[in-house]
Amino acid sequence: MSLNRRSFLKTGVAGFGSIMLMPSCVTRTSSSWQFFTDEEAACVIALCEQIVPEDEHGGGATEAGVIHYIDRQLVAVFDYDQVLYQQGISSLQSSCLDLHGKRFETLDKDTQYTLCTSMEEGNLPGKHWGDLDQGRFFQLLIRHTMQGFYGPPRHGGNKNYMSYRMMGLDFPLVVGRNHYEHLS
Amino acid sequence: MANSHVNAIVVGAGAGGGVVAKELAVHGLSVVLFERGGWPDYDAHINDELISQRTQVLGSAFGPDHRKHPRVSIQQDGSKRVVTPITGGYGHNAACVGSGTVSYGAMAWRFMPEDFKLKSTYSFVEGSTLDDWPISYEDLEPYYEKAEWEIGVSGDDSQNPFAPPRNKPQPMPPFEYNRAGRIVAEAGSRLGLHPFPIPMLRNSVPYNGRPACIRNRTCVGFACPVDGKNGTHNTVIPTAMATGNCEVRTHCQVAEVMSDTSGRATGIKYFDGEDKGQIQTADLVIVAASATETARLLLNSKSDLFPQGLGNNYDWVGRNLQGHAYTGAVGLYDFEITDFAGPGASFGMCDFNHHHEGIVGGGMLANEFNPLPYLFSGVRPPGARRWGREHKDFQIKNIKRMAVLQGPIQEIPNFEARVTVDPSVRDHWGIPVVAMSGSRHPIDHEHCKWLSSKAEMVLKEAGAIQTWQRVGGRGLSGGQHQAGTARMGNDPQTSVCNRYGQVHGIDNLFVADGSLCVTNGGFNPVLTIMALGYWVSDYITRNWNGTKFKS
Repeated sequence: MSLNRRSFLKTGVAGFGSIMLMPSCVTRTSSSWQFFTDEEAACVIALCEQIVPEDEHGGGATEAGVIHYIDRQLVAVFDYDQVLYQQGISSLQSSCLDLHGKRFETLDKDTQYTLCTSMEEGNLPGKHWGDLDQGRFFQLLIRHTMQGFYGPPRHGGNKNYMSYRMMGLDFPLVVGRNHYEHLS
Repeated sequence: MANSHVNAIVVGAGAGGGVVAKELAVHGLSVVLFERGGWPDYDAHINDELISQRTQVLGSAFGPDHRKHPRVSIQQDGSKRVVTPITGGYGHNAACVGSGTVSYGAMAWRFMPEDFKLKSTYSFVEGSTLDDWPISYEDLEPYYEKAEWEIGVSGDDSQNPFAPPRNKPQPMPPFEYNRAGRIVAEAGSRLGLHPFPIPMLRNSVPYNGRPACIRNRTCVGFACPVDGKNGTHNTVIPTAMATGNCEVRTHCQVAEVMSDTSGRATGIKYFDGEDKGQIQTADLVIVAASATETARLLLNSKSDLFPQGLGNNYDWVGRNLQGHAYTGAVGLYDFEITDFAGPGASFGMCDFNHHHEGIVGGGMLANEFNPLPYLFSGVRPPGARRWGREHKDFQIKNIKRMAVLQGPIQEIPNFEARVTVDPSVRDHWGIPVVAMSGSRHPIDHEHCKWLSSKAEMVLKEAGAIQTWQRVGGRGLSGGQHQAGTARMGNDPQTSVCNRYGQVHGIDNLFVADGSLCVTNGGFNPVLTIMALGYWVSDYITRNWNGTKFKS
């Protein structure tokens, strides 16, 4: 799947390479993930939990397994976002070490929230971000987190349709039927 | 082995092409219907929001394959972006047998008489290519009727005081309103407006051997699990095949329409399912590949006689790209106004389609299709935070408490909104791809502001505790309702086809899709495209003597 996509990118995007980021094809060391390193995954899990947090309605992105959705897609459909994720995570960690002396995922939730707000508004120290648009990176994280949290479980997130249950949406989809009890 | 010569090639098995294939086949012509996708399969594409016609973030359920079909989007500053169905900005239309008629919301609107005479009903709009159609509503009326009965429509125009005249009612009774439809429609009536059930290409009762609709929550964007939604894939195309005269050749990418030294079309070059180059010759070629792909195919069909592509002697192929600027308003209620009875859209009103001071055209308003969970995460009042507790509170509290009233503004065509081909970007088969450029006419946004304010007024009357407008009409047009790129007209210097869809100067080459539309109405266009398919076919079958047109 990704091979075809790459060959299309090579032939099709000649001249526009700066617009669509090329897949990195980086060789990763041992990790529990398909794309992320364990350290990167810890950071993304914390970011996603900020975007859809656990609250009185129920679990958040962590419990829903949003990280599995993003990790899986980054070696498939979203392979063109690989570099953006690597650079974004790295720039965020540099910013956190600079401002708080700790990595993002080890900071308390309120500090994480403030950092996310700053990132969304483009206010984290520019020296750590280079050409990367931190606001754009955060918007991408929002979209991917929402897809993982509200999309069908078969893509890795929304474990046991937990977001559908929170919204009171039946599954399957014919009005008047509720088949949740048949799900594991 | 060479393909056997046939009477007619139809390129594209969608709303227009499916109808043409059937009409020619039942009149005894041998037909090959080409489709770049395959047959739709409900089981292969269950209700997966992320792979649907509503959200293509992980791919398009009904094609095209994002790895094989790139396009180019040319921005206002002149820069180019390669786009695919998953990146957005693609002007996506389904690529399968039936095309958009497999997964559509299935609204079955007839355009109004004024929609065919926009220029003479109003006046010329500066900076536009606004014109009247060379045919009238009265010309097309019998063909609308044929589409309604052969493909299957549920509705009752007698409840719509603005409905155009008709000779025969729709074949099935209208659908009932869902909860939001009932509440908002009643508000519309209190304001003196005229709501009525939307005519639908879905079965309100069993029809044509297929069952009635089951009110599936996810209807629009998806195939129907019980086959109660009517498209060309489950009506006219099977009829065409049953005649024994029509072969449907799927997974074939058509590259070029061939022509000879006398300037007549001789057939097509295409790539088959194994990517092997093939030739199919025919007496007639009918192109119905959608407004973007039809334009691309004509532009890519160059010869010594037609160095700018077929039908393009005066540079009109690909021009006047239109779609629909969707516009309206969102209302939040303090009770559950959405009952999720599918497809969601249930009432419409045509009070704002024509004859309003300062507005050229207008658009119908309808309550919107059911919200989908991921897409709903993008629906928020202006300024609201889209993540964190605020996001989740809103999502859980309001997914059943929202009503949206919106509609398609009739766009005013302009010459610079267009499809070209970009030889520097090629698809999987090496064929230059569609490049889209230009933008909507500025008046569209003004019309959108006006229609959105009307929608907001109705939602407030229905008891909304909070409302906001969603105003469309900026940027490049196109999209699923794409139209206008091979417009019909009487003057070969300012149009591509004549009033019968016949390309000017090439008597055996026709267009039969939304490309023909001079303007695109303030309505979903599919029934008009089907009617045009019947209209074009009727001309061909009446004038065809077996090998050529009667002189």
